[in-house]
Amino acid sequence: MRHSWVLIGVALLLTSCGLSFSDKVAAGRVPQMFPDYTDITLPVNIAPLNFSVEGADALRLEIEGRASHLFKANGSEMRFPMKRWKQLMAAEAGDTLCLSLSARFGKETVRYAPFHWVVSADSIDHYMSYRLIEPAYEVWNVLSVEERDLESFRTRLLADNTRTEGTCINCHTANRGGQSQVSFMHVRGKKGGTLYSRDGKMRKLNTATDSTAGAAVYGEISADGRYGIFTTADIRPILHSGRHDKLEVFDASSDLILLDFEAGTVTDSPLTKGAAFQETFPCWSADGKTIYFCRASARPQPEETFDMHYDLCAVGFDPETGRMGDSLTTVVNAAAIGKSISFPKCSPDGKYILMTVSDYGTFPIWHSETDLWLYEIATGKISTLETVNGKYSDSYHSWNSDGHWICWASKRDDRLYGRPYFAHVSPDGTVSKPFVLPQKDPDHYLMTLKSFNIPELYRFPESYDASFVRDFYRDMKAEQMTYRP
Amino acid sequence: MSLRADRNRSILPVTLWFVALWAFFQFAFPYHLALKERYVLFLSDATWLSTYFQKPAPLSYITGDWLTQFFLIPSAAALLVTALLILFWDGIRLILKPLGSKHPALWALLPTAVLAFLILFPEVPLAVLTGACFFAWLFAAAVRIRSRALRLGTFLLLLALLIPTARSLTPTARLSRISLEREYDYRIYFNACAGHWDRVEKMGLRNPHESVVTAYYYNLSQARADHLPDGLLKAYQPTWHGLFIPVREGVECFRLMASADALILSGDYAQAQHSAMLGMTFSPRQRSAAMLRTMSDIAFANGDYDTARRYLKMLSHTALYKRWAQEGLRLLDTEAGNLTLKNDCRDILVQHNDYRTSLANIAATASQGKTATDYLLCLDLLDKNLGNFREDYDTLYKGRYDRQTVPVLYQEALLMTFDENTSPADQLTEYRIARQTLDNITEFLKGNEGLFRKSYWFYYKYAQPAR
Repeated sequence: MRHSWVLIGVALLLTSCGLSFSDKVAAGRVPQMFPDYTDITLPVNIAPLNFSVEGADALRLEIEGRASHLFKANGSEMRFPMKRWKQLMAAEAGDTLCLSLSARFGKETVRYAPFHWVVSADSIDHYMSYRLIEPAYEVWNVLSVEERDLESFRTRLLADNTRTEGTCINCHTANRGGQSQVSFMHVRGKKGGTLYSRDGKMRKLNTATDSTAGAAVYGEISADGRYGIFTTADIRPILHSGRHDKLEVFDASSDLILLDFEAGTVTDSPLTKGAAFQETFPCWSADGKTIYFCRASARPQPEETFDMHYDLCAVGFDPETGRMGDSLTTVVNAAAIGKSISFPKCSPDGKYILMTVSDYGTFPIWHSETDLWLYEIATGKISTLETVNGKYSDSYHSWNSDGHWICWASKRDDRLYGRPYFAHVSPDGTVSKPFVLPQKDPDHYLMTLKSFNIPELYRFPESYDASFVRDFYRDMKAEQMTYRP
Repeated sequence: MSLRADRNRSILPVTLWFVALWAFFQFAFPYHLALKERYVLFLSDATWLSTYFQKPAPLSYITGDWLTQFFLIPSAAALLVTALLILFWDGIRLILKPLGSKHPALWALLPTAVLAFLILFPEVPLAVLTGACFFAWLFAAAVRIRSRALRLGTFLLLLALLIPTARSLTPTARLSRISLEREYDYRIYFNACAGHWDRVEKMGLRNPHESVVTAYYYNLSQARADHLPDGLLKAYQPTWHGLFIPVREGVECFRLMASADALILSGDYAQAQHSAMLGMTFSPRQRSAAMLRTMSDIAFANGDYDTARRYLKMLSHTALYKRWAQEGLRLLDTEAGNLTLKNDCRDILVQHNDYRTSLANIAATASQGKTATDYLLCLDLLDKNLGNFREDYDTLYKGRYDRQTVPVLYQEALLMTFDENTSPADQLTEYRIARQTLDNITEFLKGNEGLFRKSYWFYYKYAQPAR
């Protein structure tokens, strides 16, 4: 008799906590999960892909791979236990998993069409930085730069402008593929400078000289960390009156400058300065012997901003002398196809250039038509990455240090707020369906008023934090870089 | 003195004090308190609530923000603030009593006066008051601990908690001035938000403080009724500043939020979205349910349904915008294909605050450009730029909107632009100038200016630049 009561109690408990999935309705449709993690390739070391199904009272996820795995959740959110997730990924590395999701809504249970995950053995870089900012056009109030551990949900504050008199902080960028990590970040404002971090040693640099047009803006550090190639630009924001785009940002003028961090010098080249052309978004080739950048004929702006088309160009670079070459080549003539190229980034294996392509101009983040294109250097073949690009702007991308993953800021979900997306790049240049950076709370993206901006992958944790950046801003004296003709 | 005796002696002054405080909040400065609601976004959602725990004083902020959303209900703000002050007073009284104070109930009124003053600043969150209540009661409980060591330890612990809480509750945004002029501005703003345009018009006609914001909302009331040129000079006009509120660095958040209203009405959704976004970005904690609602409206007008859905989903977790948001979501789910796009003007690039270029583009290319045209012509007139007025009138108004009676304001201004080399009679006919207007200008020029104080000629001659 006593055992009967126990059994009845257990039965009641099981039914009341919503884990009974016996009365399934075969829905046969793709799960309405948020974020969309169906049919993706994920790195073996990524944090749990927690998700939610709106309105569900309970979830059940069956995963078939080399072994069977079952995850259950009460409520609408599936939050994978970290330990079991790690075990799952380790056990299934290199395998394709078949997932069956069931969700209970009141008395009805829906079993969705199965989907798959390819667990790639290619790891993603351990860390990522991004800037959190309101998508408030050209101004900001409170912004921060965070470092995210991609293998867990840990975040760390790298910079916070409430500690630096509300200044703008941007472009945290690391050298990809180098043996030791070198990075820079611009901290603007009266006491600001460029934070150059190398082997745990931080320097504050004033990159503006009397002979160049202002401080360094967009740019990259060479793989060995010695050189930096940057834009100097007179950046002007302006609004669109139409309904499709919001903000345009144009450069009243822009040139390239080359920084030698060891010698403390700034130099330039007649090929990449002057009023006839505007040059911007420079990057290094994988071997460090070519500088790619975007270039357009100068036009009066904003009157002719709609006609500004930036080509992808290249100029040689000699790391021994620290000099740019004396001839310039147009790699992709974007103007000829009525497009404009921004943010070229070379893959660390030297095979590809991933770039942002929009209809015109030099600030594609706010252009809804902006897509990522992949250019194969050896063949000149361009892939428009149709399965990768979303409905709205996809831009500001970054390569993994081994070139197998890319991440970028995509506004595909609501046009306004950027979110970091990842995709796998196969050796043949095939790019997988993207997925968004997982969060511990799967509804995080729906409930934040901050945009994820400038996502950047790197291998080692940054050697400073927001407290250091505060002291860097307030107390550290900037080294003045000198112009070398 | 016994507790009963103290209570008997103090009950009258304490009661009078709190009744006076309530009356002060309710009748003197209700809209200073109501404005706090504009600076708050409280979502009944676990993910949202978890964001409060990323900073100090989460419970103070949660209770404060939850209560603040009800400030949208008339009279709720005064009642809630007074109730919290009573709670705070009682906590302080309970702290003072065991410390041997002679009249703890009366002494405890002093800190309530300080808090009552502080809470009047719209940028000071209600969390200051809820936090003060929490700590007053925690300290009140702590002084009753019998063990001296435990009491001291609890005190130190509470002090350790109090310091980061106080730092977190200190507003970082610049505080607005507390004044009757501001109260009048806030009142007209809330009346406009509630759609009480008849009250807005009456308040605008009075405009006792000659306030720019009041003039702005008066003009908005006229433009909504398609009476902008007719009503323009019946009320105080701080030159063109009563038409648009410029968005620039250092402008207080309330003005940023208000600046979106005229832009939306005139069809300038690009600048309106800019204003609303800045309004939220520069609100004390970068959160505002009201601005989310404005941005949803703008997203609908632009056909940005994905953006609208995002905001509506957030607002569906609020207490007072919930129903509105759910209706919006229903529209998106069922009728998104049939919704009318309000923003159909040609895409050009415009500097923010360049109202003239933007309005001229809307007036020329949008299907509903009448309000923009009136705003543009009134902008020219209030700026005393008759050359621009005549050019804009000829290209954008004449032949489109002058088939019926031409507003007297425009007639008066047109008379001032007539070409001396062209026949006056032809021009009078061409521009449909009424006989009465002609008689009036004759009288005005004879020196009877006092009879035409509401005329454009009087404004043109005497109006001074706005302060």
